[in-house]
Amino acid sequence: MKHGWTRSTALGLAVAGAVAIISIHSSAQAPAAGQQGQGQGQGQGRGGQGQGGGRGAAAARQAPGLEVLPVQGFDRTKVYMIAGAGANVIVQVGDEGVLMVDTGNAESSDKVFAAVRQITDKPIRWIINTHAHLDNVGGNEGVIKLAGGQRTSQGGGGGGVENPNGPLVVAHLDAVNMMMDAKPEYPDEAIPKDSFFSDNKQIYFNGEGIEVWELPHAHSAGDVIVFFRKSDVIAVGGLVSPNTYPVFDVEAGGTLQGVLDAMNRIVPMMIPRFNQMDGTRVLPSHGRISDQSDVAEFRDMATIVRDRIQYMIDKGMSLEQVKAAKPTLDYDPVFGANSGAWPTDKFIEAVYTELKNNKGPKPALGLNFVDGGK
Amino acid sequence: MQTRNRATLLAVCAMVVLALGVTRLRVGAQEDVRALSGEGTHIGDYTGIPLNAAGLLRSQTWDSSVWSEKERQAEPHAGQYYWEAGALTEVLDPSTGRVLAYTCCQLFGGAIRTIWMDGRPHPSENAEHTWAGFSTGRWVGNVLTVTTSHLKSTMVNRNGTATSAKATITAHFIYRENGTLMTVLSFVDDPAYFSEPLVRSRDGVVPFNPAGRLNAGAAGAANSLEIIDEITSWPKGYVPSYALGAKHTDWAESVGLPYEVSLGGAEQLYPEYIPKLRKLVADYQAEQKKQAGTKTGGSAPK
Repeated sequence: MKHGWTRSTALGLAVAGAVAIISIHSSAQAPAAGQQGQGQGQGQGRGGQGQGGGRGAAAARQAPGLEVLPVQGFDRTKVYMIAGAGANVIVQVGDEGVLMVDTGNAESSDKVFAAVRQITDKPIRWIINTHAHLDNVGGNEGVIKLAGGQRTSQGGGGGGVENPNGPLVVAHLDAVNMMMDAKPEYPDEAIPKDSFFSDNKQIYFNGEGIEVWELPHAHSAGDVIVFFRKSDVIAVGGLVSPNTYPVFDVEAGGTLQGVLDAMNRIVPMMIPRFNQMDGTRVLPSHGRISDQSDVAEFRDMATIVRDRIQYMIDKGMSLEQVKAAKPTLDYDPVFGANSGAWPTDKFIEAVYTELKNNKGPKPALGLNFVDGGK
Repeated sequence: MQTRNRATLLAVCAMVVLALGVTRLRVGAQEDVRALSGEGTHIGDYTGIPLNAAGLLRSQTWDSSVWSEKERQAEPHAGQYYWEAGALTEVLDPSTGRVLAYTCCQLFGGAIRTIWMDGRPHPSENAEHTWAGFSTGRWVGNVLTVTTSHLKSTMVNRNGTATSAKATITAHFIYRENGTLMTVLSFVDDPAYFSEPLVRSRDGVVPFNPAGRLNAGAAGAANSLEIIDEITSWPKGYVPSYALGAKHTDWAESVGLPYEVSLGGAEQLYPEYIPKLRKLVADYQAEQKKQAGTKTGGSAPK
């Protein structure tokens, strides 16, 4: 059993928040369609099954400071994005209950739970973790506790672990292993009891098929995306980041090529309604609600930067020479950072190292030269 | 400084367009008519665009082949390209009868733009960006001032002149002659790629464009533009781009301008640039003559 982590945070916050005022910004601006000001329905019915109902109601009166953005859905099933909890938390709500994709960071778990309770009283039946980073799964412990504990997967959902009515918590086996091996240790209650080791898992919930696909060695080793077929929404975890260069955790098995492969898998899954926009929405862990053109823009940028650095490596340039050549100058005002966890320098170093050490086939560069370019 | 520049520009531009408009108005007349209609702007022509270093590099490395990507074939011109008012259609609040918003048409693809007039705030940074952006407006006399955010990364000329999703637009729709004529004066402020706002104006008879969805197919927007396979030889994941250091010199040479002038920049927006431009052109032409003489074997009379 692993209890060495910040379990006290969620417990403390769960009971301590009676002071502040609710400030969930249940945005009147559903994006795109939502930007037309059509606030989507809140409260998907009643009849919660006692998942900390009292505590949830109390939590809903606390001060989450989060933003709940309606995305899209069908009939009585809707998808929302909760922003401000470290990583974005995706929530699918319908008659059968709630499915969450990630839980945010540990510090925000009670706020996330409160935000879900503001949307619906229905029980949380599923939690899918896209990968093992703390800003995505740090809230597992707190949310699971507020939901009364996990249920187990095998044997029909009532395996006797803590709460037969609680959420089934799912992640790819690689992500689960990372959580189990992490230092400091993840608390046992936070680790998914359900995992899969093939490349996909299928769920049918709230009237739609939900595809969970592993896209390996991208943002990290155990990344999954969650495709809500009928809602036409894909939760992509850390694979897409509209405001930063591609983030890949080398220590956790991430690679730029994995991110690009993931992009080239995700983009064709998306179907714009018209004018290369609308239609399928992508919800990233960090950043705004996106459509196909946004993801294509991100992919193209990452591909072009890779091509430039590969070309420089082919010319025999050192890392310092590559940095001096400013291969990201034009993208820096949009995606770059001088500080934080993923500054541009670190990104360039990681790309350079990956390409320099690549023993496999080189990518076909899309670079075109004119006049003084070559 | 920027505020003062903008105010000055606004005043000057307004005076110019108003003065010209009375006597020389024609439908669709605009200062950028060559760039925004007809043949469009040539690759390598960034004159008059206040690009910073990043914006210039992004523009120079843009390869028009990207439009063969399936994800880009049906990209429309975005709000930064130009603002089309068309006929403003009122959207009334059914409970109060007040104007809640205007809708109007944007060229290409038939995207409907909405200008919210009810005082609502712009959405947060987590909300989606669109080609038309999110717009709010307010009337001051006969001028409708519209502020637009949440735009997409796109171009301000059809030669790939870059503008980013961080751009915002302030547009003034100036109704004149009892509302029969209109001047649109827009400022595109892009902290990523412009060192100063890009200012454009357009005059016309109201409405500029017929209400409705231009370029929308008969069956509606959903199938107005079919995405097709255009290039079969690209390997998966291939993205075309000009390499760093690419120099598009053809256009400048074709019009007799020194290359550096074709690169644009904020200084080209000001009258103070004119003497510098004259000198650059004179020096360039002298150099061209000198080189021409050298190439012909020194045939100049002794």
